[in-house]
Amino acid sequence: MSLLEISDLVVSVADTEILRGIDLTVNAGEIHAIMGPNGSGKSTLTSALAGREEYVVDSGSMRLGEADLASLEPEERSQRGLFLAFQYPVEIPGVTNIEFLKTALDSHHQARGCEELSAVDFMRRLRELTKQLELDPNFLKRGVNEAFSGGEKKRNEILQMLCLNPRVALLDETDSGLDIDALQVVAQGINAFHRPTNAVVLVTHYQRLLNYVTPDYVHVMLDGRIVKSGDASLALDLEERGYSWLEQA
Amino acid sequence: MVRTHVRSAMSSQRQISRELSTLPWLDLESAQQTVQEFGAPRFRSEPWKYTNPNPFVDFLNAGEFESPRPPSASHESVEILAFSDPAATWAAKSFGTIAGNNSSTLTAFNLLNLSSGFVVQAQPAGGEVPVLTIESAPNSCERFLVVVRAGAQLEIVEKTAGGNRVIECLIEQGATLVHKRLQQPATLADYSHVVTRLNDNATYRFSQSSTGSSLRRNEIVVEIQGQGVNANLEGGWRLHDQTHLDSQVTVNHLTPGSESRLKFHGVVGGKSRAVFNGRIHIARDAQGTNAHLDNKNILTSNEAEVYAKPELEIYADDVKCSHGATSGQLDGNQIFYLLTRGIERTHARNLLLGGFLREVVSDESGARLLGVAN
Repeated sequence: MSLLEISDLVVSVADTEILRGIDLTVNAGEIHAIMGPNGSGKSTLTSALAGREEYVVDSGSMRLGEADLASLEPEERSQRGLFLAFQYPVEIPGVTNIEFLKTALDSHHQARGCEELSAVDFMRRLRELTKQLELDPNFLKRGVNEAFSGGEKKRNEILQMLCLNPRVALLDETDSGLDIDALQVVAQGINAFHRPTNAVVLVTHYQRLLNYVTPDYVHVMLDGRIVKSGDASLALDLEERGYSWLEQA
Repeated sequence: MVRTHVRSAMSSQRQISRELSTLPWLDLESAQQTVQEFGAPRFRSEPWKYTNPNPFVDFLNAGEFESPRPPSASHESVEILAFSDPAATWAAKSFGTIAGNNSSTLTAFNLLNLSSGFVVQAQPAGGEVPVLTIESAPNSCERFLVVVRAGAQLEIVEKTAGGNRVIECLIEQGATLVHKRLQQPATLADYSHVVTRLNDNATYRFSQSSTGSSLRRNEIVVEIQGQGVNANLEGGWRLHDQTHLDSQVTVNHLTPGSESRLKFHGVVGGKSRAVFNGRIHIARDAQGTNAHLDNKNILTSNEAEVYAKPELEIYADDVKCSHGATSGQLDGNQIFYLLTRGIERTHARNLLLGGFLREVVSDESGARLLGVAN
């Protein structure tokens, strides 16, 4: 069944239309990559899905399973299983990573009416994840993204994704600013997360992440629309030929 | 309509007890002269632009203070004596030289109305850092002289909820003073003036947590008179309702090669008002000084007010300095980030405000007082 269903979505920011009719269906078990030049609307799509206030849905629909996303607050979207890894993760000085993750996880459990994870189980899980993502355990005691390197910030997004275990993960340029080693760690995190019951939507500029995470579908966005969709080989074509041939088409 | 501000009169008559008034080293004449010459501070004058001083003056004029609650110490290496104790005469050498009876009419007026006074000296001792606890009665007019002897360490825990206090501290060579101040809600006007002088290689760590009070003014002056000094001042406030907090912080670098860092964060809500005036003065001789001043305020209501003014006054040419003050609302990006992790909006706001205050309030008791303990 489809986990994410976007139909004819039109979104404006400050009265300027950015998305001009997006159609996208993401089924359980799939990995989709969205590529496109700067300013084509990729980040607008992820922001609108996550519920950023300034992004106004003019028409069309977006559904997460049975839920109409537009009618939900951003926190409800998260609680129902939508996750956005930020292109520029936000620094929150004074709030430790542990406090932040525990609060987020508790909110998810409360919303679903399940019991909160005990402190011991929570810490055990976090230690496993930091090891998996090759992060120093002291990282958890630091302020959220505070004075983190670019690579640490991106790995922290993946840590949060693994911790919250969403149904659909939107990764907005999670590969940008990473060196090769960090890229591989992030890719391993994405692959570890991905299962037949969830889905991943990667927004990326580069083919290089797709060497480690194989997408089932690649979509190209231009000027607020998806102009071409294909399999993983489309990303290789784009790497070779750029976007101009699609603009001309 | 023309509004005029009536100035409270300062009576130069002493309310100080007979016992204290006979101590020559208190130099009451000089205090009396100051009061007669300058009179009470004037509302709307530069140092009192946003805070009406009259309630502080009226508080002292009213007199009838509670009986003193002497401070206590956790270790015998810390000696506490009442001013009237014959053994306290050593204080004659230092008393008034730091705060100065002429520095402000309110400090002079404090002396003329003193309900109690204590001299404290900490000698070097091994083991745990001794703690001096000052827990003043809300209705009191007090004065303290604290001397941390060369190489000694002392921690002051000051808990107050009103009154009028002047604290002079002298940190001698290589000594360390940690000063934790917890300001509970007060219904009476709360005025305090703390002056700390540091000698060579001395360390001063001041941290303050303040809740809202009907009227509170904190004057903090640090005087660096030595090389290799490190002064670190942090403070957080959380104001609600119609409370008023005025913080006047000054650091004077008089000698070369020292460091000071001032960091104050405030959350200002309801119809409350926060005033912050931070000033770093670097004298011509204070080359190689490293000084930073940072004040940030978050307003949580449309009716709250913040008046922040950071000042740098530099007369030396080889220094590293920065200063800044901001006031605004919670960052929308930070809120959105937390929302996308499933955290409810109210909870997200509290988490952010807690983090913002915990950046400057690192001790548990301060965080608890401000309602932001983990």
